[in-house]
Amino acid sequence: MTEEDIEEEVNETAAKKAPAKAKKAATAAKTSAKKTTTKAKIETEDISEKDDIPASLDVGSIKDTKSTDLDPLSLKDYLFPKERPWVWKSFAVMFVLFFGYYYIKYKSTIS
Amino acid sequence: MVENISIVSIILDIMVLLFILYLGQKKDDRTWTQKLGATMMCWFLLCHLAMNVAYGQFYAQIFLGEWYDTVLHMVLETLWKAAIVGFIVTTLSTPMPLFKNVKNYKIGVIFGLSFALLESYYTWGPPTGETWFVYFWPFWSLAPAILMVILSYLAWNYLTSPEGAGDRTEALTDRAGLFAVMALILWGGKNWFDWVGFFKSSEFFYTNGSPNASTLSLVADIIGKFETGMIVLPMFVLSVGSVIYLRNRGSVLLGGTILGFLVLGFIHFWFFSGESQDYNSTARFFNEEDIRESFILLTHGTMQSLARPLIILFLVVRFGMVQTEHAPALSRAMMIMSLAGAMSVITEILQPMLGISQLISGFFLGAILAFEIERKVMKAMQPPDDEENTDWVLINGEGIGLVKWTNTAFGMYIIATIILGILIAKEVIV
Repeated sequence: MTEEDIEEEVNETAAKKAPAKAKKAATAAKTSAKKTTTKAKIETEDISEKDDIPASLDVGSIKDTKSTDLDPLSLKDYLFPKERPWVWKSFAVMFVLFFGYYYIKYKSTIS
Repeated sequence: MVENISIVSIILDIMVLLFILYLGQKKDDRTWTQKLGATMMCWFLLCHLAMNVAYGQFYAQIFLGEWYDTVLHMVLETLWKAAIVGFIVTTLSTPMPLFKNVKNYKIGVIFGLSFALLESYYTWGPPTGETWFVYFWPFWSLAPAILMVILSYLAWNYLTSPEGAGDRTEALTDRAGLFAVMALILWGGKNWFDWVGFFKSSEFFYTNGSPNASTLSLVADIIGKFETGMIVLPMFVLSVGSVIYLRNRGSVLLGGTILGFLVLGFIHFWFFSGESQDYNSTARFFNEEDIRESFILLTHGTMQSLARPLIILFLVVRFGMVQTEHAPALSRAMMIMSLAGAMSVITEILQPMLGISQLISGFFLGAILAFEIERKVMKAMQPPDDEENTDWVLINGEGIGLVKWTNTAFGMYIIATIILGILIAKEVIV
């Protein structure tokens, strides 16, 4: 495998995994790589691309973000929202008041 | 002339059921929660259809006079229990799955269906001949009451949410809350018109002979009263919540609808005594001579017959359980027929009450077609494009398999009940 091949493979992989911005950078790198054969140039392009959007780190972070989005919510946070702690308390008060009234009426009726 | 409005409900049940089944066959990107919800709604419609045919169209009783009479009634009850379990399953999965482990889900469903089967044995089998037997519905009453508690809390959480879909949690809260409000109206709405009567009636607070007769009587009484209480409580929770919702978000439609139940309940009390009725007759059969019965038919009757399949139609479209783009023309026809059927019944009932001719329903139908109102209604029912359809990876199983497993379990439960019914009716089990 030549250095050009390696570079092209790296660029293509990065283009597939990275978002649109990274794809643009990869395409530019691929085009410029075809125009030059010097190792220094290749390294510059490769490094500049990595500096711009580090391929492995970038792909990993996207994957992490996506999986976090689709992760189940904590039932505790969902049913008892931290910003509104009064939600379950007020519901419990209504529940107790309603059935408390019922219980008092019930007791008075059967007595 | 006496007319039975159950026939319109039967047609709507069949239409919506076929609509869901047809669109459910199409290949699309629905998640397992949406597919599970669609099949559970089909179970509900099947049950509602059977009840409408047996207790509505043929008026409350089917006495076939032979052993299959027992089997038929057991199957009807079984379908109703399947509808209850189906709605619990939908509540716990469709807006946002409240379970992650398939094993726990299966244990819950098996427990629920087994308990329901045991109840059939208790209420129809040999225990009925025992001296300690107390006639009550442990599962039938307790399961929907617990369902109402869960739905009421989800609705309360949604209605009191000040910011709306500000973040992911709030977006899912809104989604679950909308489902809960509609489900509460579906299950409890027909009884909310009698809420004053519930408080006035001594039966609400005491059932003659049951308490203190035995421990089982006490349990039966507590379960029965808990169920009755959970019919009324959600209306108060939603009423308070809708006022808060109205203030926070300014939606007159939702708040107005819920507060309408309160107002109509007062009207029912002031003008028509407000007591609970024999709804097997007054909420199904239209008697033009009696305004009181017409009012009951307009409120309780329409909520029991017309509203339920229409709410199911709303739920399946709004929550993406079916995708109407597979058949736009059919969906449009479905919406026109639903609106026309509902309007025809309502104008028929209003005719003797307000002197409005039923012929007006024809003009309403013309308006629907002329202004393409059905398109606007269908568009408003569609789920928002940016809404998250939760498709979480489950532990100990996968979603599509769970849908098949649930339907198989329901089918086996119904077959088991039929076999049990035959064994009881043929006196094989004594």
